[in-house]
Amino acid sequence: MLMTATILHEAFQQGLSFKEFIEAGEEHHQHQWHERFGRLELDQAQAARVETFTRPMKILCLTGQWCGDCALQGAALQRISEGAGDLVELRFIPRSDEFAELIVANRINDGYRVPLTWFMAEDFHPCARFGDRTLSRYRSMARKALGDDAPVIAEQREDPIREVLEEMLDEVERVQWLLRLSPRLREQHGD
Amino acid sequence: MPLGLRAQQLEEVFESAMGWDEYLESDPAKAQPWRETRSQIQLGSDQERLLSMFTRRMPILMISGIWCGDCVRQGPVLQALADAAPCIELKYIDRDAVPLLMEEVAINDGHRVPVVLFMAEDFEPVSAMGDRTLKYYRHLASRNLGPSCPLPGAPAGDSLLEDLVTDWLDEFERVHLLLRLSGRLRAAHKD
Repeated sequence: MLMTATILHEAFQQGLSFKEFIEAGEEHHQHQWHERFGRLELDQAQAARVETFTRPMKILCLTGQWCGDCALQGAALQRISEGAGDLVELRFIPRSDEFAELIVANRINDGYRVPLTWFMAEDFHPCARFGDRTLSRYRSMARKALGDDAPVIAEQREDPIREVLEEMLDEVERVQWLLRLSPRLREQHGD
Repeated sequence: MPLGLRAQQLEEVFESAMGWDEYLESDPAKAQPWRETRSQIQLGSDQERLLSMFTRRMPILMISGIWCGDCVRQGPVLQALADAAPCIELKYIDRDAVPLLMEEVAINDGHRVPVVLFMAEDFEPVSAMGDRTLKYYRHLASRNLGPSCPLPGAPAGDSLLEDLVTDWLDEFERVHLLLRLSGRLRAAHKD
């Protein structure tokens, strides 16, 4: 989906783990990543969903250390990845020149937006690309920016940070089912 | 051929794509299940109200197969949503008519359909979603994998069409808010 397996594989190999990515950034950007991670522990129901995962998958997040939405989605993905043990491998890459091919080919609404996340099969074939912000974040932004004119009718949730975790988990689960039910992977795994 | 979706390419494909009636008339023998499914979909009043609040023109292209069961279930849902939002223009095109585009949006090493492309008014690409939504996958998994106890989040009854409406409406709303809050489009529309 919107990129080749070869390019995604190469970028994934150059990618950094959550910890490495935070540490590679400027010190004043690190706090927001740690803070988000601290608030996004999986609850019991979320942990139960992650435990149903069966297929190895790769997740590559194109991101910026300075970007608040990147810290939020990145921390959520890290929690999900940790909950899934070795099944879900997560890497981060910066929006920098070395990944120009990936960045230029994936503009959203005529802009180089982040975060952008690719969800891949174990052999790096892409299954989905998600970005830039989740629905709940856009609803919050619309309420603030447009007030009564915001085209939003959903009730505001108590904890907007944890709502993003739920949204990212929805997408990871969707791709897990896509992979679990994939004929080519069922044949390969004999299940 | 550069990687990635381009506005010019999408505009050309969109111009050659078909609206609901024209698409179904292209293969009358296979059209009946599409019409039957459409007749079973009734949006809730809140869903209709939300869609009536959309203001940004939003072309949406469903890459489809008129023979395809997943398209028969999801195409009419997209059409029901588009019917309630005057600013949405939804068109359909057969997978085999756009082989280059299908390479770009391959999923898990396959040319799966449906793939739904969401665009800005000037055809700048915004989002690509396919082949099935999360709740659709949960329905399929609970039916095909035969767990000894229900999957977390599994549907209690046969609510597939209602679930498809809520899943697809979430993505329609997300993309619409992305466009409504876009700096370049707010400048263009002075809103």
